[in-house]
Amino acid sequence: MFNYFIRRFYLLTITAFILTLLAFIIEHWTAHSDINDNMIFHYWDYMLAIMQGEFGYSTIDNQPIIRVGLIAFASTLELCFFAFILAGLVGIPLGLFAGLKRNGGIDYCIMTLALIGLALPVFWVAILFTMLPNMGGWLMPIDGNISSIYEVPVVTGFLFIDSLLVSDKYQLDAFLNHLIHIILPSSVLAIFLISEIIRLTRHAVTMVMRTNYIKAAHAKGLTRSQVVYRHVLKNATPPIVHQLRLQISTIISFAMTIEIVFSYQGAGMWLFDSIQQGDYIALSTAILIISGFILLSTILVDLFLVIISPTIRKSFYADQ
Amino acid sequence: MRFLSIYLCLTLLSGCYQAESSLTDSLIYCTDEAPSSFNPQISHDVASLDATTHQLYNRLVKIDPISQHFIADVATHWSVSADKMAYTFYLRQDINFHHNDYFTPSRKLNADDVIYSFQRLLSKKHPFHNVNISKQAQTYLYPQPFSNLVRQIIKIDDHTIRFVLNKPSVTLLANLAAHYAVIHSKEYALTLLKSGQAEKIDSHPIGTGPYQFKQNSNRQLIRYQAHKYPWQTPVNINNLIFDITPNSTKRYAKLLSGECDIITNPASSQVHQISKNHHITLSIQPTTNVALIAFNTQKPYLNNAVIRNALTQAIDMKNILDAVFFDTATVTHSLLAESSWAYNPRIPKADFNPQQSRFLLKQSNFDFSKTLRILTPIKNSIFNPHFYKTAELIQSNLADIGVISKIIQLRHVELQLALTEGEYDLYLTGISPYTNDPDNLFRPLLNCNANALAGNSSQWCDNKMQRLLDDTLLEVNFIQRVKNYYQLQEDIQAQKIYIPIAHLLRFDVSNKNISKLQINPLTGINFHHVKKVAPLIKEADL
Amino acid sequence: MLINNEFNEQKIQSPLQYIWSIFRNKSIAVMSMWAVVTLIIIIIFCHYIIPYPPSLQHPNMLLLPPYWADGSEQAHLLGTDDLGRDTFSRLLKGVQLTLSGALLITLVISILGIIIGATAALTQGIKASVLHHFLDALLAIPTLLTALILIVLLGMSFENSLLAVSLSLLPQFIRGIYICIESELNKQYLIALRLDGATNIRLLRFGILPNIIEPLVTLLNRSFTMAILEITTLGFLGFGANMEEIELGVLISQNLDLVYLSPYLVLFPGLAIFIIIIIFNVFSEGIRHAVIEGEE
Repeated sequence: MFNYFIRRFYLLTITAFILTLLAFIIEHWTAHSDINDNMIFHYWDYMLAIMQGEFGYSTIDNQPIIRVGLIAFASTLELCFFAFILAGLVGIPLGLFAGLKRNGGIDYCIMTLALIGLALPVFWVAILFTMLPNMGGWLMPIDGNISSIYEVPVVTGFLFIDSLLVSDKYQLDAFLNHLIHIILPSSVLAIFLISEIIRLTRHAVTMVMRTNYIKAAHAKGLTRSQVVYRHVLKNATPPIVHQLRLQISTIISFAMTIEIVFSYQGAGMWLFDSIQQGDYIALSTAILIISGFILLSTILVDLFLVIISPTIRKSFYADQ
Repeated sequence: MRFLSIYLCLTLLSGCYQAESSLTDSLIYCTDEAPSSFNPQISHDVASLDATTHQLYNRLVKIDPISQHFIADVATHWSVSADKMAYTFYLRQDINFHHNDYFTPSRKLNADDVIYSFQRLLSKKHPFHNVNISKQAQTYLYPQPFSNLVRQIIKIDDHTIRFVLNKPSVTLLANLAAHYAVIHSKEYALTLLKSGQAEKIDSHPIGTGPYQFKQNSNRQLIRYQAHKYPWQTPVNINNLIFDITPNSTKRYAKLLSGECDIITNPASSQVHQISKNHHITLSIQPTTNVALIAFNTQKPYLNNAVIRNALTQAIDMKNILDAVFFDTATVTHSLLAESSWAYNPRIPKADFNPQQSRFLLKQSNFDFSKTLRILTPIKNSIFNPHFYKTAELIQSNLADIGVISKIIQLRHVELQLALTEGEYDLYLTGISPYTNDPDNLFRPLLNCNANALAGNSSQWCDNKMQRLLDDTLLEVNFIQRVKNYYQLQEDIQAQKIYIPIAHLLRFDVSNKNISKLQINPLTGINFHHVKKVAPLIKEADL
Repeated sequence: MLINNEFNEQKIQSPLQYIWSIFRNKSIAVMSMWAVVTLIIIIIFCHYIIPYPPSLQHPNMLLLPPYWADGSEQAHLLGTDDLGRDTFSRLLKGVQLTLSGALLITLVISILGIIIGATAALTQGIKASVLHHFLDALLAIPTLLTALILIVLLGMSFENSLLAVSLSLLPQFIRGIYICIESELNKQYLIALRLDGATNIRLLRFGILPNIIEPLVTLLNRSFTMAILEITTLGFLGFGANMEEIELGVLISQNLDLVYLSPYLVLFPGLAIFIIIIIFNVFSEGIRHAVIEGEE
């Protein structure tokens, strides 16, 4: 198993190397610097600078670009995380229902919903959601991460944590305010995620229900709920998590689009603004930050899968 | 259904969402654009004026908003010599500069500060004359009439100064009350020079105004706090926040949800809806800002006044006003606002007449196979809520008379390039004069020395008109000046160098719990006396 | 011997005919097929269908609502926008541009993807390894980011946005194809075919491709959906088609300011995107089910 992770790590470094190469090419291209000099030396300089954390400065406000980017991406992650929780709470039960009652009426209803959810253009749903408060007459914020009245200094970049850190000044108000701001954008993202989770859960549950050990469990006289909790859920989780891992980049894409509609200050808004103002250095930095995160998350998800799934663990030992 | 109940709970939280607007010592003003700098001496755009003039700085004199008379501000009183050549100002002695984490003043305001501030505008040798401002921009960013007017500023004692003029003039007070005549701290400027950070003077301002600068984060948020040692009546608001929200429909939504207390420039399509809402106050101010179409008079065919005249007749201005501006602008036939003393009411009105237009074009051998390039900025501004739609309307009007046109939309940097190179035939723009002096409007538009970036986007240069412009500036006789401007307006109208589309109105919308807001369309918004009370309980039917 | 022709005559159907006969029996699939045909007719004959030229302005009929609402005009089925242009005509024009772009992208992706994916699966050694790592790296960049970068590098235009979207979706498609072919290659009948000495092309043409139709349809459908979503997203953000080209995303962003005055102008283009995607999804589901049932 240790060998496996060494190998994964080795593959990761190669991929990361290719990513820095891509980022370097993009930065070189957008900056239009003279390419007459030796490219390899340039790349070497670039790598050295990156190793020292020197990613360059934004041309808009002369801030270190990596800091701006990381803060923005932290907001995106918060959005995704919140949407994941919402989607998990809604999607997994629905997917379970659909999988257990396969080809029944409920199944058809749920799957139609999932189909619709996957076909909706995200940015359009986001626009509709920004109109919702106006139509429904509720006072929901549709713009930004937090009301500008709260002065929250950046400590971790995650606004949920930062707003708790200033709780002596505003009590929980800042935290709650951020929470309310995140509801609408994360609901939009959750619509896509719910559909995806329903689909995956239904598929995984169907697969598990066909196995012999479920039949055996039934034969043992376990009740339906016991079977579901003890066997189906446990065995269906790894394939769902594995499939969702492949979707991370799509999810981040969608989150970035939603951010732009809601002016939620995350990675999407940051890139959008930077491109609008011709600050192209943000692009190469964004590649490094976002792809770096995605690579790292694949490893972490693998680790997580190993922890929750004995079968995968076994396959490692079999390798040796 | 556990998850649903959690979700519902979260949604219900929005019920108590209003909490922040009950903080009556904080005020959020939502605006559409970030200021280009924090120094009105070099930035004259509306966003910069709103963010600086009345908030951060004081001037020697100011205009009473009600009586329109000059009243004391930094100066307690002043005297004028008999020949109107010298003005002596006596300064207050108790004025503190802002104290904050990057500057602590060691003395109060005195004559040195005043002279040092004005010298930046007047003297080429002043260490800050070239800071943050390019040589080329100096010609149009430093106020010309003022520098032509003042010969010398003499310090009589620590709290008395004298302005000596080039010629007798009554316009000095108006100039000193204008937004660019603000007083900076000499001590702060010298500190910056010493530490080699001279450019900070315009981004980290120190002034004497009721609010002091606290933070400007990332072009999204500007925070001010109340002046720690105020010398004027203290403000009621402790934290003044400028929230830059470029999207106008969102600004209105934020006003309704209590995330903004005051918003500026609501979407033109929403003004009607806003005026019907009883929970908010809508303030409408006529401005001298004018949206206009410039003909590039250096281009073939467009250098012919008859053709310009014909094209003007083909454009349906009323339709543009209805479709783009809704009710946020007033029809106009003159560049100068009707409120101006030089406004010529007798200039002929341009009328919409496509047949006549086509006839004129044919008569003057216009080449109908030529494609006219209509240049527009990609970003909408106060001059036009929707540049592209305006261009589309003009395009379709021109197509009706058989003239082919192409719309070119450019981002700021590319736009400046296209303007300097003159790569366009029509250009949609606007101009915001920052003083009541008509010269301030006409000079950028018509001056031979001004390039397209400075405002002369029709690339106009005519010796006769130039002479008229220059003569009028130096003319002492008021009647003659008015006559000259009448003449100038008639010339512009005859030559059709610019076609005014509309004079814009300034809209500011505030919640009912905000009072005593002062808005001056020329010098910007003033939060000095603003009061905020706890919000009234709103009905749900917002 | 008496041969009872009526009983014993069995028509041997070709696989395609067999799949078609299954497909034909599903009413929803057939309906979606006709809808797809309609959409394609719209693409080809859009110019003749639309009642008005899409940029023709009717200055005295601004912001009309669709025909079922009060104050509408019969002449404008779905109302007009703020310059008095016919919404229906603009919508169809938008569908034409967006849909043809997405179909083109799907076509290009499928051809390139199958070639590269098959090459990757059928070759070993350093070439395949380099390709793999490169794919891994590309897959770690979100598609929107890839598209944005390409747009910045290439310049903003509709053609470039199509190029950017295809390049950003290509890695996923290649990876999908690669996995399909790889799992197929391990099957015994292919090993047998190989032992017979079949060349790679033959292996691909007769062994692999007919057996991966089902996952291929899913992949194509996914690429198509993502292509539509990305084209419109880029258009909406102002990085794709410029304002003069009528594209569904651009239509939405153009009318965003008017959303409270006339929400239809934003609703309709979004609905059009949604309906196109649903139609193609149902259609591909129909094909997939027919193929699965046919195989069983």
